[in-house]
Amino acid sequence: MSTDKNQVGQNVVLGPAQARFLLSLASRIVPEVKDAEDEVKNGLVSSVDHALALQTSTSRLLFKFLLFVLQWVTVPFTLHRLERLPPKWQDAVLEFFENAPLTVVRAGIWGVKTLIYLGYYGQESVERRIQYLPSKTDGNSKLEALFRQRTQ
Amino acid sequence: MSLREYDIVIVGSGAGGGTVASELAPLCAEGVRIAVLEWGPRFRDDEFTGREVEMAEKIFFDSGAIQNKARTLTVACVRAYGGSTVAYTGTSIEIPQRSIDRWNVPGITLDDLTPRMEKFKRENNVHELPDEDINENNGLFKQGCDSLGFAVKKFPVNLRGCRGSGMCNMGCPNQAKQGTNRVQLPHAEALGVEVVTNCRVEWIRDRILVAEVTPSPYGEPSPWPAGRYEVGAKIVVIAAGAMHSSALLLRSQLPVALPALGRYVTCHPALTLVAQHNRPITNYYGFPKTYYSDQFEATDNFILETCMYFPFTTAKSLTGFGAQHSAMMSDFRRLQMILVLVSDPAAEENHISANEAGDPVFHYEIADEVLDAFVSSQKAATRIFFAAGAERVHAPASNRFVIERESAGQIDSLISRAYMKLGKISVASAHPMGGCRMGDNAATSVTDVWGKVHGLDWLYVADGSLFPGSSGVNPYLTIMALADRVAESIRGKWRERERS
Repeated sequence: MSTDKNQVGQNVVLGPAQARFLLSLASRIVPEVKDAEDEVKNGLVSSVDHALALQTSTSRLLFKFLLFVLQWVTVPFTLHRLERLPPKWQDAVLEFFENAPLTVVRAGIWGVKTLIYLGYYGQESVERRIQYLPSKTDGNSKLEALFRQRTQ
Repeated sequence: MSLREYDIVIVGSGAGGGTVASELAPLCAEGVRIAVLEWGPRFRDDEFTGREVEMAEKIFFDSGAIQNKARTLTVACVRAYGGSTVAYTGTSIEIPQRSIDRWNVPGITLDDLTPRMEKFKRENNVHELPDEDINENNGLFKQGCDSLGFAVKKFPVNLRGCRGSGMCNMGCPNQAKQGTNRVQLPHAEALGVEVVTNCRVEWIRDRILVAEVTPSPYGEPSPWPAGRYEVGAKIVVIAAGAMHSSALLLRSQLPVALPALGRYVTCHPALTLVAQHNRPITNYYGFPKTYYSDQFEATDNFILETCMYFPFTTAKSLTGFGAQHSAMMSDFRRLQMILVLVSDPAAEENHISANEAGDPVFHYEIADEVLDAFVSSQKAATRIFFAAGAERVHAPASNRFVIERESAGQIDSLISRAYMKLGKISVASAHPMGGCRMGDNAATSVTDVWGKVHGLDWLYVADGSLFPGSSGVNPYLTIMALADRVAESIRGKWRERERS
């Protein structure tokens, strides 16, 4: 009766080529990724990989299939894989898929984007960069201090 | 397989299970043996770290994103000592008369539920926040509503010693939120109820439950050693949450026909709307959810609530990607957020099934009237944001990534059903309801109005799955009131049994 999707997986889901393409895709979804430190890039890939490891094998397969489709879908039209196209063309392809007539395609792109956002915005250094600095124990004190600061 | 024997076994420890446990706990003094079997762990206080991704993985099924079959919506369900009360915001609204009217179940009245809800409000220290603890994310919502003439109300909240971490939805790191993990379960345990964590009930047949205890990487160890158990009980109460209660009963193959089992599920489909100010506001410091507006509940089937989510959750709530998306996320202090909760219709075809592994599969189509409500709610929320001084608003059903302040006069044409593309837009739910609905007709309901499953005198349901339709408001207080009725019924039955 047990299920694999709620257990922490030990294996790395994404191979090196898939991880490289994921990063390339991530730099279109979140442009800051392109010039981010290696630590942030590695953090992104490992977070996505870990999240995939928690999914069912079907979901993992679907994700990899979607990456494959995104990477190769442009070849028949341009003779180039997605990541080799000019950035504006890449964005146009992603926009097309995000607004595709089929719900299942839109949902697939939403899933890829969501994992990339998880991998990027889930990192503490990124939280600091975007000024998200919560306090576990002193939120009300900090709120009060900010009110005082602004009324002075 | 190890054997255990109890008089009453409760499956699940959230708003429903925790309440039944607490209400029945005085029976322990008379020798009645009561156990609560909870799938999730009992987290230690220091495990509530406030780290978004880490906590999502720790406390939620599927990291908070159980997808419907059509992949157009995600549902958040918690597994932990305290169930979903660990991760709710603690907003304690009483179900309104109009929802009871829509339910239209003989015997379920506001006159009966109100004193019960009042009892739990007292127990859980429900009160309104003082004005000095209200941050600008909340204050601006009120300001916007006031200037537009929209009704706005303060949420009653169940806090004790809130320190304003804003991390309620990841489990309060300061033990301030008065969920069943802080109030009802400790009370029940003090009176002799056993709570067995890390214990997944696989199936139930004629007063026998088969369960498995599996060690968790988190929390206190389960009081039972790892392994499979056969648990006997004279009375069984299912309170595993709407998704998992239905799935458990479906895979149990009960000896009665229950055609409505798993059906008529509603879930308050929700959108998180985000606006950007031209200055930092106070948003993530302080309690995140102070005001709501039910201005449109009766006419357009939605309520608007303040909210403040975390970076990843916020990022995925925005449609689009690239530079515009990054610009919106670039300074979190400038963001204001509003949550839309839509009252969805209880359609028979929206249902839960169980897959081969026994996990719930959610078959749910977002209805046309829900899509209409999404569009109307985005128009209303966008007006509130601009009335509160926001510079730009991200409305997912708009033809552009953000609506700038200078276009505020064109809201009606910029936000439209034509741009509302399911799959592209992040629709979430934290309030699954129904699946084991109450009623007096076994063809269209699963239990009677006291939560007893039709045709089985030993099996009860006591959670949000009892709802015959949407509650229209945050449901936990209503769940507790219904669970109180279930406990009352069981108590009466137990006394009768003792007498005979």
